[in-house]
Amino acid sequence: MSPGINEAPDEIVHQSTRLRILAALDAEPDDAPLDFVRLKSVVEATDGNLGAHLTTLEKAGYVAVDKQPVGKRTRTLVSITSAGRKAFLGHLAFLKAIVDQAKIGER
Amino acid sequence: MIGEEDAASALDAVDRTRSRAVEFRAYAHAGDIVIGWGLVWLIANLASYASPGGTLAWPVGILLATLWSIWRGRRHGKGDWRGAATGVTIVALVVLVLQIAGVDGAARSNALISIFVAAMYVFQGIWWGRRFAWIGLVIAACVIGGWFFDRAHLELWLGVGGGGALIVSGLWLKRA
Repeated sequence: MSPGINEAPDEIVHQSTRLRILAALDAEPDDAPLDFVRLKSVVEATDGNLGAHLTTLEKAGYVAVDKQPVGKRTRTLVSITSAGRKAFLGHLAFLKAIVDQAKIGER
Repeated sequence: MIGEEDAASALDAVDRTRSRAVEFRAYAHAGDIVIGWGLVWLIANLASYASPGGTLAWPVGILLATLWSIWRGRRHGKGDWRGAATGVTIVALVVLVLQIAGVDGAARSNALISIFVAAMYVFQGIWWGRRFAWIGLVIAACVIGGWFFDRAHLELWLGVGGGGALIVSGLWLKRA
């Protein structure tokens, strides 16, 4: 494997909803955090599902969750950490390598 | 072990999510701008309906909404010259179409400009996000309703219907 490409799948990242969460956060310019509500819309997840996967990602150190009081409500902001970005991009490279290998094998 | 199909499917999901992230960011950024234009549309149409001198509200409103759009656009780092060039081209196109077609009368010009705006939203919706297309279709429905079925109250259709649709749509976009 080339440098920057994971040698094995990152099981935390590979789960479908978590992969989409990291893709959405990685797409934000300047590492800007995403509001929970918008993240839910982008990822097409339910409140409970998104919350559970964010907890997993936060425990792994891949995302940072910041809860800010806004009046009587709480606004939850989520951002990708440098470890999260590294894991996400490494996993993407791993997936691309699988697809590329398969294409080479077909020739 | 991840197979080729699983890997390709995961990469597709990443691409789709990135596109959705860009789409929703565009919605949130456009919300305030759409509300600004909605207010101008509402006030200027109602002023034009109320008195002939009310048409003066248009140049003032358009100037204010343009400055508002530029300011909001820059705040979100969208200082791209192509955005300004597109706006100038559209305005030039509308003015030339009105002149070449010999469109006379405030009501006809108003309806034609409004249907152009509706079409621009639909084009934007086709390329960048469905919500813009819905805004365009609602505006088009107001123009068609006012022009073909109740021309005496066209400005009310365009102001309350079109302007109102823009304001509500702007709030809808902001919530994205």
